[in-house]
Amino acid sequence: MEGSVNKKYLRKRDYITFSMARFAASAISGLAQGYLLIFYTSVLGIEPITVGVMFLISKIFDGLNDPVMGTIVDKTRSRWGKMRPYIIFGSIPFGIIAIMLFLPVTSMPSSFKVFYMYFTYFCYDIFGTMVGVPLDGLPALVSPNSDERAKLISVSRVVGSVGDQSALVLFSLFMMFLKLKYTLMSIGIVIGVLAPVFLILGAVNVKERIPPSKENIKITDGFRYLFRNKQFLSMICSNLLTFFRNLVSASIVYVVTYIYFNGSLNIAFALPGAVASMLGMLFAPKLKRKLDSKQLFILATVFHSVALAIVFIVGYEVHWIITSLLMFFAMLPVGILNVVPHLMAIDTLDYWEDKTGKRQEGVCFAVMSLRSKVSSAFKDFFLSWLLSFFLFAVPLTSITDHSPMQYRFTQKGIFMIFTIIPAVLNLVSIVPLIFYKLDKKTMGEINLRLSEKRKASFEAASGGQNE
Amino acid sequence: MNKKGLIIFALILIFALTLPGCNKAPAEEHFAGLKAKGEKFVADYNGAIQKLNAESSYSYTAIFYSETLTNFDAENKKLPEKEEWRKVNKETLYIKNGGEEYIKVASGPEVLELWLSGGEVTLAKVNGAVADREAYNPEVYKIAFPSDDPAALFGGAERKWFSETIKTAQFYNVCDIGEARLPYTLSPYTSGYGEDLSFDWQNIISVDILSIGLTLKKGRLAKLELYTEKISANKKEAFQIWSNQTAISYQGNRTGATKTVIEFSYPKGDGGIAIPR
Repeated sequence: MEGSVNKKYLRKRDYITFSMARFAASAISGLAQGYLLIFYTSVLGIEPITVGVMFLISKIFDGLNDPVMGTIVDKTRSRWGKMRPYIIFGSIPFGIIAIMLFLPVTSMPSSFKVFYMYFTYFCYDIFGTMVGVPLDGLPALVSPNSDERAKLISVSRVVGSVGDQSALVLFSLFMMFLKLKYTLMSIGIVIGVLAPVFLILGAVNVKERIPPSKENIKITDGFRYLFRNKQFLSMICSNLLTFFRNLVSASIVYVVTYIYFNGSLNIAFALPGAVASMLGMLFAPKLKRKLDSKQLFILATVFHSVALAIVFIVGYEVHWIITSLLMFFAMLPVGILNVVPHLMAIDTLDYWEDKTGKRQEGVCFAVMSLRSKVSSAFKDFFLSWLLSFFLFAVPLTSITDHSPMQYRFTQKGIFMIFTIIPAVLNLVSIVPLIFYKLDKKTMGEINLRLSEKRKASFEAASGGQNE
Repeated sequence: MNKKGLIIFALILIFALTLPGCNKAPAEEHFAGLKAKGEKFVADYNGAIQKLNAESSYSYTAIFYSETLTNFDAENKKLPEKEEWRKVNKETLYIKNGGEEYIKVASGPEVLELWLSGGEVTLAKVNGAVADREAYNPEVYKIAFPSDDPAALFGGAERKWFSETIKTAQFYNVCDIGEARLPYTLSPYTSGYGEDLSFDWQNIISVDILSIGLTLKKGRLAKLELYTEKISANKKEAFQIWSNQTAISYQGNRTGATKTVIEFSYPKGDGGIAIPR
């Protein structure tokens, strides 16, 4: 291992350039995750269910190709290291794909549009993985000093989460001057041109100083672990069902466009939600002292559902400020709901170590990552299906800038997707936790046993050294 | 199965799943389906209106909105640089109780009320003050429920949502340069179908789109939504520096739209809906 663990290797420039690389990658993924559905349905005029099927297939494919990329990266030997070549050479195609995703090919036949949708989204998946997996792994290799690595991860994650919202800010700004088609095309161009610059700068600037110590995780190892560790299984099943909750953020752009008829209001709905969510994250540690993870999850889920139900009852025929304010309160528990599954995952790791003596973080977090992608796939498919069910009218693209009027039934349906549907269905995520037994008392006993085991093995190791 | 085999299988599966999205139903099948849906919709719609007309007492509130691009140069088919839209909002309340009727129309600051008996106006008030009842033709203020040629239907759908059934349909009528107004299926200036329907804007003056949404509750008309869009053909000229020529292209843009949403109520029990005095 290169150098001393206490020496400082990273300069301020390294933190800045790597964080900007994270910002850039998050900006592309935030744009794609937030606005592709409305682009395909309301600009290209593709039926929502067709879009939903595409998302379902491609996002599951995306979840499965992460470990493949992990293997490729692990086997790479180059003078730039293992991770950096993929970020450097993958960034430009990634940026080009970001632009192509939002090209308004409205005058083409419908079969070409569907093919184009599949082609560009799969390319986005592939280049997103090519850049994203090494970008996630790079902080682990940049310094032998673990404090520096932790700081880099922490700073770049915060900057990355800001990058996630950059498309939201640009969308709200551009919609004040441009129609939907040109807004999305312009944002695609801005982000597609700038993102590769920051990605390449970050990758070129930050050096790989230590070889990766992570074992190669196979997806089959993940599934074996999942079915053996029943506590982890029930937690993952519960977490998988939280995709209903994500309908709220996914439907905001439809709410502002088709209920309030003002795309610029996107920021007025999404940003308070993001702020509320961050505030919720700050409350989580304090609440964790009084409640265990399961209780915290159930309480936050019920609060979120009740608050969304209140928004539904108040309705959308009130001033948008009222709806936005109510949504702020409804989103407060979401921060807790974002943090608690990780705490539960760590508890299940402790449980497994206590039971078997093995600690399998790599496998655990690989399954969590796959779960996240599968949840996202289900969410997009379900949202698309709901739009079709509520008779969402797609534009006729032979009419310039056509935006058909939506039926009242459709408007009500969009508001239901935003409120009461996630409010009711989100409660389903509590059901698998019936089988989750790791309460405060149980975890206390497990941690005590683990602490004694670790102490005993440390003493044995020290005693062995003294001899 | 080895890794390569798995990857090939996955790619074939993805390809097989994408094919349905890229394949359209043949034209004959598409239009046969449309005709069947159209005939069913018109039958449902006419049935609902007949049932409504047979009711001795009911009421409806209707909101009406229209927008018109006032500075569109229809003669030269030119869109203005800066668009000016005239927007109108109107609300209507209509009550029928046996032979008695009541109509209230609010448009801007003016509120008109008409009381009818046996179809004749017996009392008229404007902003609460009595007005000349002969000056008002009640048929102008009642809402007419249009129907159209089912052959013109573009699409339709139906949904059951708890106790409600929602049915929708769309009509496209093409007005060509010879000023014939035809359903799109009969116009020589349309091509393609479904999402690929396109118009020859050079030979068309306008396309009128009418969308109808019918909501039935316990078999009775609960809501009727009528949306119209007027899409006018216009000319775009762009000077091409490389060829020193002006390229002319034709496209269709919305120059007007209306929205009418009518919600119906029926008396509970045997009594009728009371008419305000």
